[in-house]
Amino acid sequence: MRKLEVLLAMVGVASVMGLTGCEEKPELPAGSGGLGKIQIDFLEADRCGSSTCGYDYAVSFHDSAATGQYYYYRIVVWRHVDEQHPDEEYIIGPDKLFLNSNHQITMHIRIPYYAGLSEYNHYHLDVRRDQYPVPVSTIWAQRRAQDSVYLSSFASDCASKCCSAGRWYAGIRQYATPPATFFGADADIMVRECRPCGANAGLTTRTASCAHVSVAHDTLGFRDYNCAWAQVGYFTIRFADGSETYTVSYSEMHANPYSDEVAYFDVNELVEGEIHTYRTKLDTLTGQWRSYVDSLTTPFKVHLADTFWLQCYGTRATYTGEIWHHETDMPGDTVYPCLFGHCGVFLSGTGWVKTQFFGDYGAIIQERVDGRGQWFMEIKSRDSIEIGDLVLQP
Amino acid sequence: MSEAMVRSGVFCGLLFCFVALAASAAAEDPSSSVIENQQQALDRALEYAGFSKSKYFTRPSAASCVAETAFEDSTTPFLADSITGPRRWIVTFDSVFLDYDKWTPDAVETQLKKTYHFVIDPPTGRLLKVYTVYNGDDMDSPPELPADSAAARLDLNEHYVSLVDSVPPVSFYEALNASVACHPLKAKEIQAWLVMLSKHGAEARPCWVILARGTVPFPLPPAPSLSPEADEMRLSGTTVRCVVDATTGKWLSFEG
Repeated sequence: MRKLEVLLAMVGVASVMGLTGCEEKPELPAGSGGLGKIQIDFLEADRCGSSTCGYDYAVSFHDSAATGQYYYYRIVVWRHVDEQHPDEEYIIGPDKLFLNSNHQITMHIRIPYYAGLSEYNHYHLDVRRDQYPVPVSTIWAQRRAQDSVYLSSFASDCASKCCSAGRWYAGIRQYATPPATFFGADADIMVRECRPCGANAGLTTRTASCAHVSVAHDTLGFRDYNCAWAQVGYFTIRFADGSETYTVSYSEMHANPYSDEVAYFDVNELVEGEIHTYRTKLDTLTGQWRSYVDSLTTPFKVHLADTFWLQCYGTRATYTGEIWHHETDMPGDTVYPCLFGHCGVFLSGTGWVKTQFFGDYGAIIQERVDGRGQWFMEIKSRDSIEIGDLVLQP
Repeated sequence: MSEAMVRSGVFCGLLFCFVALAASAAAEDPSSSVIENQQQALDRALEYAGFSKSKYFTRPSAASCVAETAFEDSTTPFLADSITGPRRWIVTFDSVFLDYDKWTPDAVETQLKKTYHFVIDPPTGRLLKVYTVYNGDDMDSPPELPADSAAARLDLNEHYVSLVDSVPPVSFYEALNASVACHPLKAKEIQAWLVMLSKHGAEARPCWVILARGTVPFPLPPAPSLSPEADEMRLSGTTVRCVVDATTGKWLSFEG
């Protein structure tokens, strides 16, 4: 058994202080590929900014890989270590592009309050490194190092607040297997009005809960880091400094150079339980996305022609719920889930096809997105899913 | 003369200003469209503005500045030529406090008060445009598009068919209150038009189009970062356009 440096970060309720120390550590798989000597230092709590509230830590590790090159690093803190299901119950997993200049990497991570760290517990920590850039579908962790760390926390009252800004999803993704691409996606989506975070406490933080179909082009070869997409669906939105919520259809397109977003309040007076047909489709000759709501002849929105979409097509189609705060409710719940029915994609060279959410589907790879005990996604048939929130606001 | 020059001219004191003295000023015939003098211009602007619906706005304290001058518009899509002209009434309401109940008391209390200029067409009495001028350092919004470019962007979905001939049931003040996504309390600059608006070729209807610049931006998902501190949400959409039905007061759309 070898000794590794482990930093014990202790956070008291009445005071905040970081303590350094070492402890005997059980045998872990050795750091591979030159990654190793992980150390985590508590920095401070309650650093919110415009993003997620939580505890800030500095993670340092050694990387013997060649200097002067950029790599992607991912730090993953696991709530439970389970070799059979290593991808469940992770707390945080930021990816960062770093220049390895002197073999010693220091990255700042924020462990959000919603992670619900229990006091003085061991957590498992991975540092993983990937080449930059990497192709789509590359599995993480070409190189990894692991360690065990002590983390602790305050109790937070985030259940009734809007502590955690970001994006969370519950749904299913489909990846086109090159050379196939997607030119469109559609689904019938059930309207589920959602409660914004802090509604009971009278908060007026801007937040939204959405359900949409989208087509994205993943850039840099990374699955999660698309910077171009088109989507159409509905959201329940509360604007800044206001208490009213609106459940309306919207459409958006992000690419380069344009970003274009619209919400129409008069086209659909959305009512709880209704089902509306949403479709987004790329005109490959003009680079314009057209979105449709119910009518498939009169567009809901014609987006700006963007040269990006003349050169790049969709690599991913998504049918998903999305929330802007961890504490905002996802569309649907276990009793009244949000249904995505008749899901389809426009596959290059083929045209519109219905999805097959189970079984073999040739040019499409599927990936479910839900979890951490907060939300669910359930496949109901070959072309339909249900999603919902498991932990509704108090 | 550019629009900016006209605006600066207003503030350089080259124009004749007066303070509206009494609410009991002789009322003009509302059916008369021609605006022949400053009093009529002020009355008409107040009809469009609806500021009297605020308990903090009184006509004697309006400190309005009314001037007849040339005006040039280079940014209004579809209608810039109609707005430009050698004789336009410009009615100014200084530092208007928006007394709204849609927002939190704190947001109302700390609002960025703006000075509104109403551009009125003398022969018809029509409202041509409403604008404010931001004199701060950083607008936090991209430059305005020229009228042709703005029209090209809009024309995919909407068209401003014409200006509206008469004062609508819903005032500018009420339309601003309905434009929640534009957040007029925090926007650094507001422009507005009262137009007949047609969407996807449907029948046109009178609408207030409100453009808020330097307003509260929308957050985007976190992006892959090149620095260890850059975990914050990206922000976009500091220019937001809201459309409100000028007959019903219903908020129709926002875009940004």
